[in-house]
Formats: sequence, structure tokens, C-alpha cells
Amino acid sequence: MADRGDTHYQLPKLNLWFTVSSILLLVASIWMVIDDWSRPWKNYQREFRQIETERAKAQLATADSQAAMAEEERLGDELEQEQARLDQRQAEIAEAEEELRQLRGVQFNATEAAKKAKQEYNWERWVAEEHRLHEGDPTLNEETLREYEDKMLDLAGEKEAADFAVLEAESKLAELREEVVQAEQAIKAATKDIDLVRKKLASLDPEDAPTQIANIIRDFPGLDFIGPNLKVNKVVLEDLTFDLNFTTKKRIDMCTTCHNAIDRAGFTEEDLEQPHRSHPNLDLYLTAKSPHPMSEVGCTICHRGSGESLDFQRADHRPSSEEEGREWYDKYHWHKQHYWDYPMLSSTNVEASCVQCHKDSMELIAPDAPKVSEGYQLFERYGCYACHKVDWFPTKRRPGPSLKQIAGKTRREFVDSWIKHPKAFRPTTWMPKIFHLENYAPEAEVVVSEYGTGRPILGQEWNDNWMASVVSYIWDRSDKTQFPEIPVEGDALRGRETFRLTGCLACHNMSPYTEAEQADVTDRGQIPAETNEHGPNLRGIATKVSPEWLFAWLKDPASYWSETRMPDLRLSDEEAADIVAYIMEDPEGIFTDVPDGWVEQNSPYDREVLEEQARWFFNRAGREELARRFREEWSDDEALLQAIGEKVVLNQGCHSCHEIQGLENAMPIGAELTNWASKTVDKLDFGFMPEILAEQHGWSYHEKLEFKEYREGWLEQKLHEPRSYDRRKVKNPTEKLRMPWFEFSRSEIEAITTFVAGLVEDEVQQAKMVPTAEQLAMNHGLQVLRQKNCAACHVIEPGMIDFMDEDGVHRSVRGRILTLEEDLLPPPLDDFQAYVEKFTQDAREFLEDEEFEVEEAIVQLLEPVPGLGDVGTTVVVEDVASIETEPAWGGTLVDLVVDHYQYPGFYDPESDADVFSDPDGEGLVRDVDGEWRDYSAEPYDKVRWTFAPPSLVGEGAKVQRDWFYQFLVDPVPLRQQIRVRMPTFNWGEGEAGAVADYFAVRAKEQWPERYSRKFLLERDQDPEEVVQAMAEGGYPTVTADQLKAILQGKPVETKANFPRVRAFADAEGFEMAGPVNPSYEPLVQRTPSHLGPLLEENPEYFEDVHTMLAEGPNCFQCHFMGGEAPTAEGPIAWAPDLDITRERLRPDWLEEWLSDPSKIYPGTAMPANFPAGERVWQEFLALPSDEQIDAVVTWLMNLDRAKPRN
Amino acid sequence: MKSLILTAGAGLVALTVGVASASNPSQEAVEAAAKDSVGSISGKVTWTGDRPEPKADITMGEKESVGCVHHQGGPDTADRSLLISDKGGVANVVFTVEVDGMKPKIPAEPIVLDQSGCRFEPHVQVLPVGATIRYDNSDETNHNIHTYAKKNQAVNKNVAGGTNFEQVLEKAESIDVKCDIHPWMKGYVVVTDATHWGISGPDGSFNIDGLPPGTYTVEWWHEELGKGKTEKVTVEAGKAATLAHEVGEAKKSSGKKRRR
Repeated sequence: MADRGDTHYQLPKLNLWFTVSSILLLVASIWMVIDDWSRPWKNYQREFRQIETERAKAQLATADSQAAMAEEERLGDELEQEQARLDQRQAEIAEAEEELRQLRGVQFNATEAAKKAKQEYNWERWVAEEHRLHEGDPTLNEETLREYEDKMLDLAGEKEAADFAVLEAESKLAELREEVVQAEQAIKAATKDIDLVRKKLASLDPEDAPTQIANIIRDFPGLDFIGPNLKVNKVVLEDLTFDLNFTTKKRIDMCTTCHNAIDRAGFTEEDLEQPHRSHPNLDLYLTAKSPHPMSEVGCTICHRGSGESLDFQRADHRPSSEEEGREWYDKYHWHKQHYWDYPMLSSTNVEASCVQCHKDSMELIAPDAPKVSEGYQLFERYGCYACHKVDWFPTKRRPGPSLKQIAGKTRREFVDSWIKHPKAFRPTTWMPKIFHLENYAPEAEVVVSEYGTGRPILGQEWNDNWMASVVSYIWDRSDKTQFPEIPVEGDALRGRETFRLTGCLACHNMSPYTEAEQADVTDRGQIPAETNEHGPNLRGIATKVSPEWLFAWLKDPASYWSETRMPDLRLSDEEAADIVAYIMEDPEGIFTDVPDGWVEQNSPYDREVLEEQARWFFNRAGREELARRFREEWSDDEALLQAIGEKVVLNQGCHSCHEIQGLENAMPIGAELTNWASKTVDKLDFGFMPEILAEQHGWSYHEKLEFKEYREGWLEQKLHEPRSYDRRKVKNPTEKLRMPWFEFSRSEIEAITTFVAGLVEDEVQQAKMVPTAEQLAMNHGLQVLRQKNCAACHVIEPGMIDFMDEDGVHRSVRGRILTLEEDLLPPPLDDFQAYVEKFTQDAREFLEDEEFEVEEAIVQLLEPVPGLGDVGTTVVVEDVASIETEPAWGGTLVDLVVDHYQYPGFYDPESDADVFSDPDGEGLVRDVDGEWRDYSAEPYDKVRWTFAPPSLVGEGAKVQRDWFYQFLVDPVPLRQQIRVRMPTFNWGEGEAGAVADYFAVRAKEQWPERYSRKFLLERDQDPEEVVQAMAEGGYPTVTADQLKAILQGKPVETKANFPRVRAFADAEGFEMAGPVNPSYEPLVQRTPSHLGPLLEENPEYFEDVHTMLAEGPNCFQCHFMGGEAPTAEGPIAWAPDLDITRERLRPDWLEEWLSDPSKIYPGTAMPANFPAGERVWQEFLALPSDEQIDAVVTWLMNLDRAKPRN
Repeated sequence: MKSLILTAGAGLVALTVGVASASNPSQEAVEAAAKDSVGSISGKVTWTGDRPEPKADITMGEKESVGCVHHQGGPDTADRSLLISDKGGVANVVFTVEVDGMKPKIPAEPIVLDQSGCRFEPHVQVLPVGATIRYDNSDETNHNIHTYAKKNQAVNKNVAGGTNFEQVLEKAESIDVKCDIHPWMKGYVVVTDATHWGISGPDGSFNIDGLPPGTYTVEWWHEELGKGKTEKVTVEAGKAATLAHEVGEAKKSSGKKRRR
């Protein structure tokens, strides 16, 4: 078209532009569609399919699959042959088929005819009988009737013949076809597994063109909304909500769109990278049988991040290290997603999320969530909760000792120097440093005095004055009555023995200050262990406390500090005085040893500085009023110090941890942390730290910004340098940051951060984790066990020992390692190999034999192990280097007590001699009867079971719960000979009951494991054999893996599968006493229905049993009875009072105990008095051993009735 | 078994010591060898250095020792853990020799550890691996045999007066044996995998018979003093080689140096 010239535009040009823009629009549209269609997650899905396809192919290529395919081929050939043979016999089959068809016709006719004949006969008979009734002639029509009857019977016979012929023809035909059918079935069975793989492969990687094309079309841009092959996976969580700017919405997690393998086992190879890896620990997470199934918990409730995002960046992924962050930056251009308030937790802190559901089960999750549990325990131990409220936190006590009577305990100079830097006196103290921290740096100007017109006051002076005023105030508030004189004179060496044998070392150690000195220590009492750091390290203590205070404290700790964890050991005046003498006279140079550089002095103060501090604290009173006070009530320095001291105490929060007269109800100083981690990060004051840290670490601009994006980073910095957020700020001296410096280690900071990062608002509206009553009891019990430090004295769970046995089989058993060679104590299990090395070196020196080696270690089982033996069995391990150990839970004091019996003295370098406590210095130990005896040559086990704290392994199955509770509340001596004392604890509400419940529930839970172990052991079979026996016996079976899980005590598997194992064992005649019932248990032996028949049959029943016990095994040689002493005179032979038994022990346990005590406590002095399968003491009670035991148990349970009344 | 009298410590006391020579099964172990084709080692073990103070006697309470059938002369209360004669001979030191290619013959009859007068008799009993031990009780009271075996099956059984029980000991080790009812009772069973052995008598002398000619290392063991090897001894046929062994302060891998 030509240009008409009447327009301002030229059409051809316009057309050209139109064309160009149309093309551009088209291209842009296509680009848009493609760009929208091509999402990274699709690539991940394609990659994952590729991985799966390769796996399926590899699976088909394995030997098993190859064998199955070869078999398939062979059977296929067979099938073909059969078919061919069949074809040859086709005529025969056709004939048979034809014959069958005809026979079926005959059968039909015969059946019909027979039916008809029967009906006819029935009709004729009815007619005939009617007639007979009317005519009165019973023989009427008899002939006709018989004809009909004959016909009916004939035809019935024909029908039967036809039926039979059909059956015969059918079986003949089936026989002809049988071989083919069998061949087909065999193929199906042989290829079942590979068929599954093939089917999967066919759907993943279709080989036929139509399916391939169909898949392409399904995923085609614009069509992929219909039924795509690659698709977004969602987990919609009905019960879990998310608070999105004032609205609450359901959580929808789409993470599995990329993380395809996350809930599937087996994707764990090193070279597999996320998002194609399995989640760790699938027993615990994501799988349907786990306690956290994916369909119920999803992903973001634990990991946080944005669950509905389908893109690496937007999901708000979080690197677990700076290196990873850099790697991601290069790979994905990763940076923090600025528009999302709840970034994913890094793998370091991910356990934080456990807290939101597990507030009531923090102790129970400890084994599976070690870091957050450590954080939780540190939070408690350092007393964080005292300043920072966490509303649900179970512990409320003030963590520091009461200061209400401090003036009687120690000196003013000591307190002054102590608060200056507590770790300077006791490096292991939990008390933080409060004064002289960075925001009052010594050289920095804090203020200029006199309202800015006087002289500058520096940090050093400011803090000195504060400390002087705090001490002055605390002294003023303390009761200054002196503690009473010690009523008796103590003996230091006797005190040393009491100190070591009563149990002080359970919670306290006396570790030296420097590492060099620590390395030289050989006395186990001075070496720190987990449990003996429960109380303070006592080194240097004699320089701190007054003897009168110490005496009063030992006698009754709670009267000085009502919330103390120190229990009452019920010490006599003499015992307490002896311990005081020991500590104050300090024959070993432990308690008077103070660290280098420790000096006690009062902080100097300056009237001018004090007045300036008063101006800041009391500025509301006004200048004139202050001037008046300085002249009048504060004219005395001490009065001014006290007035400022109160303000400093309240400012720095001393009262949050310590009880101070008059400040009992003052508010703690820290911010509440109950929902801290739900605060958005912009509410945290980062101060100038991003800049300062960026300068320090040479961070890039992005890295600096990143620091401000995460609350965990803020927290870590706060814990590391609590006052660093004041840097470069100018602040009023009473308003600076106040959190003290705990000198946390890096790992402690990580743990505490993890815990605090878990303190979120409760997003789990309908909590998934509602602990059962029994779980709650266990949780509370564990907490109390920890807080009361029960494990210091008692073994609660034996250690684990891994080793190679003679046959090169790897074993993992609960047990102990017996003393090496001629060693005196068993090797500790916390670092066994290091101990062996040290022992070898020492032995080479002692023996002057450079060749000396530890040639074997002997492992003793402390649980029944199928294939190895019952409790007490020993295994000699020659490959000592193969041994790996995990320490027992508890019992640290046991070896310390045995150690003392073996060597009750110490070496005094001055006199180059051993110093012992006994009057003649012979190395004797004082017994409860006051006699001194030599125990140095007694075997370890003898001393262990006689004089050391008892083991609590299986305690719940041993004692009656009610008695246990009573005993905890009010302990009575059970073993008269023992000097270690079960303390009287200062129980909080429900705590003693929680301990008793814990052991009962635990025994109940461990019962299936024990039952299965004993059963397998009795049959001398391994799990595979038992599983096979179950199958062969036609019992409902379990898999070998399920049985192994039961043997390992895994709760989920046990609950699901144990009933079948038990049913099998029951049916096979295995017998074992039933589980503990943690709530109520009847004492059957005391019931009339049990006793009645026994006493009716033999009115002398109790007397007879008593006679047997007195004249047979003679129990009364060792056992007390109703307070009456045994004939054995030496305490080492004494055994518990039999009169307590009926209240204390469970009859089931007693039966087991009496039949073989060494199977419960290997090495115990109690002999097997009624050996199984033998007949002993027949002249007194002619019964087999197990029935004698029943009689003894009945007698013991009725001792109050059985004892002669006089 | 025969009784003999010796002086121990400060007082003159009677005690029964089992001397293994009369029933030493190691003699029977070499049946095949003619008497003159074998030799023996006879020696004496003596104390060197300052003599330790003798340990205090054990105490048997009146009530708790009812039923202990004491031998003539009343109860034997000497501490037996380290017996040194007037002339310095040390008793109860076990010597063992391993001859290559030989096996000890397991005695057909059980070897006896008796409890008599509320003491273990003998104080130290030696037997080869695989032999049977019989724990007797010649007293009129109960004892419990409590072995603190590490490798063999540890036992703790109540044995009434006049009864006994047997146990086969399968592994070489020295076993502490105690009776918990009478806490002073302590004895030892040395299970050896050597072929020949002997134990020193009250005067410290010992004898190892039936050794084929050759040069041997002799190993020794004592409950308090530890264990070790002597110098090599050459045995000639038909002759008795002599071995003088000296022992002194205890040397144990535990470094039990500071102990009494």
C-alpha cells in the first residue's frame, strides 16, 4: 500500500514496527512461559529420577537379580516345553473337553429327571396317604406308589453316576493342564522381587515411545496443570499453624518437591548431595512408624524456613558454616532472604526445635538431642533462669548460696576479693565475673564528677567503689551472730577417713589449679569427674570458711541455705568435728592451697567517688536533698557505702541468685526469655557489633549484613562477650549492660544458644507430644536423679564394652572390665585405652621390665547376652586394642571407697612415709563397731559389695515402690557395716516419689528386653534361629531385625512386636517372673488364700522353714534379724536385716536372687544356698530347690507372723 | 598330707601345711620317661633384705567360730600371707616349668582344697588346667566356697559340714578363695598351664621332678610378692639341679609399693 501522504506516519514503516514488536512480544511471551515453566525444582526431580533409575538398573544387575532372571529364563523354557507337549496332546485335550461337555449335558438331564421323579413320588405319596386316611385302608395304592419310588431311586442313581463321570473327566483334563499351570506359578514366584523393580523402572524410565511422548506432553508448558509428570509435592499439616502477620494459617511444607528422598531409607552414599539424601535417623524422624511422621510434623516446624517456597533462595536455607555460605554464594548466589522472619536453623542449632514440644520431656530426649539437652542443663546449672524468666522452666531455686549469715561463714576481705573475680580463687566456680568488665574498662572515663564539673572518674575506681559498697551492704544485711563453738574436739586423720568414707567425694573433688599439677595427681579423690563437680571443688576451702560455720553447715546444711543441694549426712558431733579438724588442719596441704596470685584485700573507696555514685543512683532526690544527706545520714562513710551498695546489688542483680535479707522479693534483672526466639530479629540491639566484628574478621559488606539477620549470632556474641553491645556507645553509668561474664567455652555457648533459640511461642497448637503419666514420671525422675546427683554413688546402668571375641566376632555388651593383671581397681570405662597405656608405663617402671604388656582384658557381662552367657559370665579378650568402652551411668564413688579400704592413707613427702588414720599407723580402717581392721588384701568385689554404695541396676524390679519412697524420705541403715551414708535429702515436692516411680517404670519398660534375652540365652539360639523356629512352629512370627530391636530395648519395635515373641516363648514353656506394675502390686505371699492351705497342711510351716534356714544354710551367721546381730563378729560378714525384707523386696526378685545371687550381683558374698536342679537341706525340708525357695520367700514375707511371740 | 611344726613370726604355733610332693600329679605326667632318663630341680627360696614385721594374727571370734574343728593345739591363727622361716625360707611360692612338647597328665582323682579348723588347707593348692578340684568341708559348720575367679567360672556355694562339691578348672590363673561366713579364711588355687610344678615348703625348699634333660626357665608366683622368672636352670638326666631363688619386697604390676 502506497503512502497517501495525508498522515504523519508512514504505513510501511508502521507495519515494519508492528511486525518487529509482534515478534518481540511473541518471543517475550514464549520466553516468559518457558521461564515460568523451567523451575529449578524440576531439575532436582529429574536428577532424582535419574538416580532412582540408575539404582533400579543396578539392582537388576546384582547377583541376586541376575540369578532370579536366569531362573526366570529356565522356567520360561520349561513352560514352553510344557506348552509344546500340551500342543501335541491337543487332540487328547480336545477329546477330553468334548467328553466333559457331553457328560455335563448328561449330568444336567439326569439331575432334572431325578428332581422330577422325586416330586412325582412326593405328590403320589401325599395323594395316597389322604385316600388311606379317608378310606381307612392302609394298603391302598401301594403298588403304584412303589413304582414311583423305584423310578425315583433309579433316576437318582443315574444322576450320581453322571456327577461322578463329570468329576472324573474334569480331573482328567486338569491333569492334562496341570504341568503348564505349575510352570506358570513357579515363574511368578521366582520373579516377584525383580518384577517390582521392573515395574518401577517402567514408570521412571519408560522404554516405549508412546509413554515417553505422553510424559513430554504432560510436562509441556501450558499443559502441565492437568496431570504433570513432574509435580510439586506438599505436606498439608492440619494441626500445625503458622502465625503470618496477625493471621493464623495452616502450615504447608513443599520441601519434598526437591528433597525427594528425605523420608526414604538408603540414600546415604557419600557422593550423594542434598536435596537427594535421606534424613538422618529415620527411626526417629519422618517415617510412618517413627514418633515424628512426615504427614504429621512436616519440615518447617523443626527446621523453620519458608515451607511454601520452591526455590533455594526463597526457602531461606541456612549454611552451617561460613565456608558453606561462601560455597552457596558461588553456586546459587545465596544470601539471606530478607523478607522472611524465621530463617532455617543451621544444622548446629537445629535441635532448638525440640524444645517447643518437649518441655515436659526434656530429660527423656537427652540421648537423641544431646546439644539442646546440654544447653538446657547448662541453663539450669549456671542459673540463667534466676535472672531470665522462662515460665515453664522446672527449676526455680536460687542457684547461689544464701547471704543471710555470710558474716559468720567467712571474712569481709574474702568476699570482696571473691566478687572481684570468683575464678581467681576457684577456677571451676559457676559464679560469673561481675565487676571490672569491659563497659567499665579500668582506663575508660565513666563520668566526670560533681555534675560534670569535677574530676574524671575512671572505670577502675568506679568498680572498686562499687565493690566496697556491695560488701559493706551485704555485711550490714547479714546476721552477725557467730556460729556456736564446736562441742567436741576433732581428730584430723580420723576426719580424713570419715570424709572419704561417708561420701563427701561423691559431689566434691579437690583438683589442683594448674594442668601440670593435675597431671601428677594419683589420688582419685582429687581428679575431677562428671559427678564430683556437683558441689564446689574444695581446694583452698580452709582459707575461706570459719570452722564453726563449717561444723554447723555439715550438721545441717538446709538451716543455713534452705534450697541447698547439699544433703544432710546425719553426722554425729564427733564425725562433723573430725571432718572440720581434717579440713582446717589440712595434713595433705589441699585445703589451704590457694591459686597463685590470690590475695584477700578490701577494695579501696573514695568519698568523692561514692558521692558521685550516689548522685547517679539518687538523682531523683534533687541536688539539695543529696547535699543534705551527705552532711547528715551519709556523713559516715559506712552508711554511704551501704546506701550505694543496695543500689548496686539491685542494679547488678546479686539478689537474683542469692538470698539477701530484705531483697527476697525484688525483681530479677534479666529479660524474660519464654518466647525470646519468636521475637523478630530487628528487635535485637546489635549496637555497633556488626561493624566491630566486620573489622575484626575482615568481613565483606554482605557478611556484615548477614550477622544482623540471625538471632542465634546475636545470642552467641552476647554469651561470649556479654557487654560488647555497649561498645562505642555513650551511656549513663547506671544504665549500661549488666549481664555478667561467665567465661563460657565455645561448646557451652553453642549449647546454650541452641536451647534459647528453641524458646518460641507455642506454635504447636494441638501438641503432638503429650507425655503419658509414665513418661512424665520418667522425665521427672531423671531430672531429680541428676539434681540430687544419685549417679555419683550408685551405678544405674552398666557401661558398654565393644570388643572382638576369639572368633573375630564384634560384640557390644553391657558389662565391666575386671582389674587388669595385678591392678587394684578395675579400669575406668571413660577412657579405657588411655588407662591401659598409663598402666603399662607404670607397670614397666614398677617391675623394671620394659617388655611388660597388658596381654588380655577380661570382660564380665552385666546383662544376659544370647550366645555369650548370663550375668557374671567372663570373656577373655586378647585383642585389648579392639576394646572400646562407654562409661557406666553412675557409681564413681564405688571405686573411691574400695580404694580407701585397700590403701587408707596418703604419702607425706616431708617424712617420706605413709600416713594412716589408725592409732598405730598400720593402715587399718575403722569399722562401725569402732574396731580398726586391715582390708588391704581383700578382693575388689568383696569390698565393693560389702562397703561401697549399692548398685541400682534393676532396682525397680528389686524393691517395692512404696518402701523405696519411704526410704528416700527417711533413710534407715540397711547394711549395718557400711560407712558410706545414704543422705537425707532436702526433697522438693514430688521429688522422692519421682525417683521411686522412675525405677519402677524403668523396670517395667526393660522387662521385654530382659525376657527376650533370657529366653534366647536359655535356648542358646541367636535371633535368626529363633525367628526360624517361630515360623516352623506355625507361630505368628517377627523378623530377625525386629527381634534384635527388642533385644536392644527399642521402645517402638518392642511395643509392636514383643507380644508375638512372648506368645512363642510362653508356648515353648519358657518361664520368667512378670513385669513390675509401677502403680500397685499385691504381696500374694501375705494373703490368706496363699497362707491358709500351707498352714492347714502343716501348722508348723514357719517353724520348719526357720529350722531349715538356721541349721541348713545358716542365714543368721551373716544376716541381722529383727535388730539381733548375726553370729559373725566382723562387720565384713554382715548382711541386711531379714525383718525388713517383707516391706522392702519384691517376692519375684527374691526368688531370682535366692536361686543364684551372683546372676544379679556378680561377686556378691551371698552364696547360692538353693542351687537350681540340686536337692539340698533335705533333712529339714524335703523339697526341690525351687520349692524350698518359695517356702523361704513365704516365710520372709510373713516374718512378723512367723516370729515366735514372746 | 602330713603335718609339721614350724616357727612363724613371734610365737610357736602349730599349723597344717599341705606339701604337694607326695601327691604331685606332675610326676605322673611323665610316665613314659624312665626314672633315670629324667632329672629334677630342687631349690630353696629365701628372703633377701630387711625382714618385714610379721603380720598380726587373725582373730576368730568365739561365736563365729563355733563348729570349726581345730587341730591339736587349738585354733591356728597365724597369718599365712607371707611366711618366712627363722632361716629365711619363704613358704608357698609356686614354681612352674613348661616343657615343650609335653602335656601335663590330668589326675584322675580330684585335687582337694579342704576347709578345716576354719582355714583353707592347703593355703595354696596347685593343679593343671583341666583338672578337677574338690572343695571339702571337714568342719562341723557351714562354709561358703567363694572363688574370685576371673577366667574360670566363679562359684559361691554354701557347703555344709562334711559335704563337698567339685569343679573342673579350665583356664590358667591364680584364684583367690574366700569363705564369706568366716572372713579371715583366705586361700589360693593356682591353675597352671605348665607341665611341671612345685611349691615351697615351710623352710622354703621345693622340688620339681620328672624333667627331661634341658635348660629351662622357671616361673614363680607368690600371693603377696608377685610373680616373675628365675635364672635359667640346666637339668641333667638322673641328677637334681639346684636353684637358689631370692625374693624380697613385693613387685606387682599395680605398683603396690606404698602398701604395707
